[in-house]
Amino acid sequence: MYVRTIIYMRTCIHTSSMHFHELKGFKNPSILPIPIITTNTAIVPMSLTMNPRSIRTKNFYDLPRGIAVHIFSFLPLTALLGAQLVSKRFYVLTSGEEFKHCFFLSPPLSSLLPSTEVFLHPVFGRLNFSAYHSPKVIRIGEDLDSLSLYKAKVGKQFATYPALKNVVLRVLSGGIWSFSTEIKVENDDGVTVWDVINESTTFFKSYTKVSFADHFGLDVCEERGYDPKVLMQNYDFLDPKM
Amino acid sequence: MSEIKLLSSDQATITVQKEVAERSILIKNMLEDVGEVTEAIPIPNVNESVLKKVIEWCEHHKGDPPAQADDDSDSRKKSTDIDEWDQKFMQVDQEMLFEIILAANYLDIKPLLDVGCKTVANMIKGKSPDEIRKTFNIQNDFTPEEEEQIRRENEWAEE
Repeated sequence: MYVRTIIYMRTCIHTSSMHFHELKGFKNPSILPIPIITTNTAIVPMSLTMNPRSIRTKNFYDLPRGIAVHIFSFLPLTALLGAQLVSKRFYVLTSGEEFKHCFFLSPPLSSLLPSTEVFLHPVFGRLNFSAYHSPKVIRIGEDLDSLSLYKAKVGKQFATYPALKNVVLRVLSGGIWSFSTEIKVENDDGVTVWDVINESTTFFKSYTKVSFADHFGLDVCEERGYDPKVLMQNYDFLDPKM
Repeated sequence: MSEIKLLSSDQATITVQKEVAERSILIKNMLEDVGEVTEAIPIPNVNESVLKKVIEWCEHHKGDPPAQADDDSDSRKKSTDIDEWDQKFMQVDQEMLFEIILAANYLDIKPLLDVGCKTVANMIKGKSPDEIRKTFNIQNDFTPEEEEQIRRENEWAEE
């Protein structure tokens, strides 16, 4: 059974950014996920494994893997990503199975309870693009040389935790869109960040059944130089003059 | 109030209330298995100074309700909040901090283990990789290329 989840989305052409809003079932992306310690990392009393002598620990590295993983399990995603840059050992420790779901890499579960909390990938809060753009030019961050979503690994990560096979985006504002305008995103392997962005931009580029004449009337079309017969694209309604 | 004796790895005998010692699941299970003991129970992995520190924590927390069943699965509700007394208790040098964590793990005192691990997690949080290296005296063993590749991959999350 799929869990149908709705992401509410508002697209602002002025700020060229996409905002995802917390609504039912969603946590604020700024509350970053923290790993689940699974049974295969359960901390086993070391009496079973240790030499019965006093241990002198002087370094983080002297902690057994299970304890180190337990420490990292208290870190939010941004801190985990920072910790990966400390050393190879830190990178390996924070890249294990236990942290897959933290990095939105756990595939969809076979079933979810309706009450399951769904967390949105925090990268959605960092995307910088206009609905007019091709998804391939979308960047993460505001700098011109910032990371391209198309090339970044984060684009291949799942859009939510738990990963979902079916996500519905709801467009909150815009000329002809009613409150129920939806963008459906499906992927049997789990909806990724890229899937969401790709479907969103496809939606904004798609033609509506409304011509410029239908929407504006012939006089306005003539005044503004619009071809009255041409069908409007969804992104046309993002224009503040609309 | 019955008392038991614990024998540290450096052969120091410490007398402690049974109720306090039973914060350790290892000791609690041991006492349940062997019944009354008059001899000191050896704690071969923990030296006197660490054992005293652990007992101090157990004494302060002896009235705490028993730890709930492991709720690690509810991971997103995990927090690094530590109560004020525990924060002060954990104001020790790094070696002692790690010793307490190891002792809590060995003695199976989950709440103490969590406090210790949260303390270390708080030492990592909000720090740059370089600051973390300095904090824990860790060598950066990445090549510049490897470091750049990971930095690039993780760049999206940078403030």
